[in-house]
Formats: sequence, C-alpha cells, structure tokens
Amino acid sequence: MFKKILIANRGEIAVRIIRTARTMGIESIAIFSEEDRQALHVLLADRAYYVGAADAKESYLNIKNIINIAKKAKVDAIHPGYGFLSEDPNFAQAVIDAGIIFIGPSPKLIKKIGDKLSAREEMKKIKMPLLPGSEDAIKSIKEAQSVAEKIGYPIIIKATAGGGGKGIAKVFKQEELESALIKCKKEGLVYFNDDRVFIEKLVINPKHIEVQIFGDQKGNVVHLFERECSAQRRNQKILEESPAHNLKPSVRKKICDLSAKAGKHLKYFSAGTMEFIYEPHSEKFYFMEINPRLQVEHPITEMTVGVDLVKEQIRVAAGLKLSWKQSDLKSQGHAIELRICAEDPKTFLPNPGTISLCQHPQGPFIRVDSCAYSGYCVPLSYDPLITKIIAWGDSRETCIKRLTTAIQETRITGIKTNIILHKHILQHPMFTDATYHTGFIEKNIINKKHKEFFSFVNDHVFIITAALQKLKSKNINSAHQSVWKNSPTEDDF
Amino acid sequence: MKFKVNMKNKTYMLDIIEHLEEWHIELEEEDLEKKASYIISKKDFVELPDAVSFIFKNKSHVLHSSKHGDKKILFCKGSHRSLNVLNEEEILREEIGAGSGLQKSSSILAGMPGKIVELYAEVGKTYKKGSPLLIIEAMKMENEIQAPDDVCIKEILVKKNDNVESGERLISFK
Repeated sequence: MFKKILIANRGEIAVRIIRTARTMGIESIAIFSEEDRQALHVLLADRAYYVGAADAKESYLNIKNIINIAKKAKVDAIHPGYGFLSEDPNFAQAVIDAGIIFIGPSPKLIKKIGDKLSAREEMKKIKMPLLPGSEDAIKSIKEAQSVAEKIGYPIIIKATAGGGGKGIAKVFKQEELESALIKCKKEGLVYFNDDRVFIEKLVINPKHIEVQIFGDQKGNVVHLFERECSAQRRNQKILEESPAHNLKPSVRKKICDLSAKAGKHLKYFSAGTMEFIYEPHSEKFYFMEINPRLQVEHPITEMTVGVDLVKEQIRVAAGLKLSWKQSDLKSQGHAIELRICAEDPKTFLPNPGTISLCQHPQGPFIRVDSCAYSGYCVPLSYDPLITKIIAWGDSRETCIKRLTTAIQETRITGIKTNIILHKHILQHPMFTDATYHTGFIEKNIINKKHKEFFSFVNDHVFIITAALQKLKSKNINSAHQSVWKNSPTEDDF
Repeated sequence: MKFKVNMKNKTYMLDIIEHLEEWHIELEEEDLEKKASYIISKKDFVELPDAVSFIFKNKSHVLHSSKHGDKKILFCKGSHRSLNVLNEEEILREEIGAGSGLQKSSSILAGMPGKIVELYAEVGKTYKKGSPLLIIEAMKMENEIQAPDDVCIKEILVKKNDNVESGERLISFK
C-alpha cells in the first residue's frame, strides 16, 4: 500500500480525503495557494506545500508546480478530488509520466468519456437509451436547423467537452437557434478549449438520476445504486438523495444494471458516475454523461451502502482487487446531503468573508463534511461550497426529520449562506412527496416570493437588536464626551 | 429616544425609553396601525465581545453583525437581515436632505466582495439604463453591473483587477 499521497485539491474534499488516508495509515500531503494558508486541509494534513498564487490557474490548476511538489515530497500517488484537475487527461498523464500513481481512471479513459460525443458512441454499442439528437458535431447552422426540425423543438445544445453547467443552451424555437449555437461554441472554446457542439432533444422538467459505478484494474465492475440530484439551480446541484424515491424497483434495477454493464464495456476502474435524465410519467431514462471521478455527493452512497469510496479508490489504484462483489452490496435506508454554500440565498451572489461563528450540527446519523470553522475567512477565488450536511434514516421520512433538526442547529454567521433555502426545500410539499424535478428550485422555491422565506427568526429580534446596538453605541460616545468635558481644560488652571 | 429602521423595503419606527433595568420599546411599522410594545430587561440584551446575546420572548438568540456599505447585516441562527438604522439626529438630517433632493442614489456599490475583471465605463460618458458598466467576479461567478438609469459617469473609483469589499463605492454619477 502507498506510504504517502498528495491531494491535488482544497476545501472540504481535501479534508475528506485526508481523513481516509489517515485511517489507512497513509501520510497526506496538502498543497495550498496564497489564499489558503489558513484553510482546514492545510491545518489537518501531515505536511503542506505552497503551490502558487490565489488564482487557481497559478495554483490548483498548475500541473507543473503540483508535479514538482509531488516529486519533492516523494509521494506514491496523487488524489485529484473533484473539480480542478480531476477530469483533465493531461494531468493524469503528467502524474503517470512522473512515475507517480494517479488515483482515478486512466488518462485514455478520461479522454474518451470526457468527450460527450465519443461517450455517446460507446454507449450505443451496449444499447444504452440515448436521447434523439445529432450523430456528430454540428458543422453549420444549416445542419443544426435540419437536426432540430427532425427531432422537434425544444432542443438542447451541448459543448462536447462541457461540464459543470457551462457550455449548454436550451432552445425552444427556431429563432433562438443561431444565437444559442454561437454562445455554446464560444463557451466551449473559452472554458474547455473545444468549440465542437452537438444537439439533443430537451426533456422538460426531468429528474436527474445517477448511478455510482466502481471498477478495479482486473476488470471487475459493480454499481453502488443510484442517487437523485434533481434539486438544482442553473445545472448546479444543491441537494442530493439516495435512493431515488418513487422509482419503480424494475426501473431501478434496469438503470443500475445497465450502468454496471457500461462500466464493464469501458473496462472502467476507480469511481465513476453514470448520469441520466429520467422522465417520471413515461418511466423512461436516457444516458447523459459519465463523470470519471469522485462526486461531491458521494457521501450519501457511503451512508446507504456502508462503504468508504475514497478508501476503495486508493485500494484499486494500488492494484488491489475490488473489495466487493455485486451481491455483497445492499442499499439500506435513506440518505440526503445538503450543500451549504457561502452565498446569498435569494440572489445567489457569492459571499466570501470571515465566518464569525461556525457550529456544525450533531446527533445520531448526522455526518458533516466541511472546511469551515469559526474565524475562517472563505476566500473569493474558489467555489462557494463550504459544508455538506448528510443525514441517514431507515426511511426517507426519518431522514428528512433528522436533517431538518440538524439544519436548525447549524449556525454559520458573519457570511451569508443558503441554510435558509435548504429549510424551505426540506418542508416543501414537492420535495416531501418527491415529485420535484430539475426546474423545481427555480420555479417553486425562488420565483415563488415566499413571504415566510426569511421568517424563521422573528423580524422584531433583528429590528430591536439593531436599534439597541445603535442606542448603546451612542451611550458610549456620550459617556466619552462627558468624561472629556469634566476633565481639566486650560480654563481650570 | 426614536429610531428608524429600514429592512426588507419596510420602515419601522421605534420609540425606546431607557429605565434603570429595562427598556420600554414601542415598535411601529410605517403605514400600519399595528403597534407592538416590549419590555426588554437589560439582562436579556447583552453585548458580548463579538456578538449580542438577546433573550426575546423566552427564546435565546445570538446575533453577529457585519457591515455592507452603510447597511448593517445581522445574522441569527440560519437567517440574516440587512438593515439601515437611523437615530434621531440622522432622521432629522435625512428629512432635510430629502427636502433638497440630495437623497437620490448617485453611485454604484459593490453587491459582493470580488475582483473587477472588466471595466467598460469611462468618465464623462453617458450610458443608457441597462448598459453594462463593469463585471465583478467572485467564486467563479461573474456578475455584470449595469447602469441603474440613464447615467453620466462622474468618477470611477476602481481599476481593472482591483479587489473590492462588499458595499464599496465603485462608480459615481453626475
């Protein structure tokens, strides 16, 4: 087994990986940027190295610096976490070229499935349900028009290299097609250095369902059941649960088995996620993409299946056989994860800054993955995700109750967070009956001007506090003044 | 002593009478007949080094505050509010100001801490309502700031690549 691993990431996921490394007796090496000197992953790691300036391009995306540190620290392997370089085949290749093991799939595989068109091509071979769309990259506006007419509006244009909600555009009528096509190509070029795009039929208000798959280097592949991530805003997930509620057992079995089959076909190894669009009324699902990395929402699978996915990633990277056969794996009870972000819950504007008080929830079956602490300054250069609160229950209802209790206990002050938004989601009828879909947050939570959105604490508490603070500060000033007045002046001499 | 608090686009008038051991507070929402009266014991409202401990209706609240320009943000449990508080002196000043028409907002403040990544506005030029003036970026999110009205730029207080604080004045208009 490895003696030392470097974690090429920051934030809660770096902390998460350090914890597993420690339980395995592996030394953890952190890297940090100028803005992250006080970050929790730096404080917790066995050793930490400065990697570059605050801008991610200079630090957490700086392949050269990261490899140099890995060589200097003499690490056996590098874990990329999620985001940053985790899906960059050039990084995986550079790690291997430096004689270090990359904890993740092979660069070749990352490249193949990172390209959405070639992933679609592979999925066709195993008869995976795909949405109607273009066979290849769109070459002209004329071609786009004819594809769109053939499959019918609405459609979605996607950058083949896209991800994270960037490089996609929904088109509802022909007049919008050209500008959407140009926008998508431009975003693809700017964010992913690839301006190829393709077209798919758009499903209105679908559910987002994904399946965790896992493989070793000996060709064994299993699935670890599904997660539902339909609570999204602008294609960014904010709450996830497992299992997907209301999913028929037969559909569930089909989607999970097909995912494992896809993994076997690709000779997939390490952790991966098969993402699907699911249409509840027709009970049909369609392949969307494969993510060749650990997901943000992996803890809910860990809670329901009872496994440590990071530990398994490290084990299979070291060449060991997968710890489980498919028949060993059972999903038990229900788990939900909330993403707490440093942002305004109404405008969604980021809100970096210093946390004055940070109190994480506790209690039975509550897990908190966080990089926040009292006095920590959330930097402005990176993702606003600071904490994930995960609860488990033997039923979905119990799980929601535990999570509601937990979030009521959570105190993060000094910066704005979306805690209040989560309180709303958890008690919304569309969430409690699990009919919510990917349009739910924007349509039913944000646009519905909920009067009580901010009424979890009485308004008068804030108004009186503000006034009394002002009154008291005035008293202090006048007290100072009166002391000054009574002190001897020249006249007294 | 009178205070005027603005919160969520509503105005509240408070009349606070200080007694030896308690405050008597009359709280009135402007344009509403309803009045609330509270007696707050001084033992129930204590300022700690960086927070306020406030027992209100037998419930304990710990509040933290931070500043956003001339506004105060109070955090409590999972909630927060932006407020603007005026004392008697400031209420009077505001009334005089309002009379002479000096009150109109004539500048743009940063809505979030971030970095100026684009600056389109130029001093002396006029811009139509809604035209982009600059872009602030924070946490991988770009936020375009547009002209709130038809405006003429008087002064630009930031440069490209500057880091700005929340509530910082960015551009002022003629």
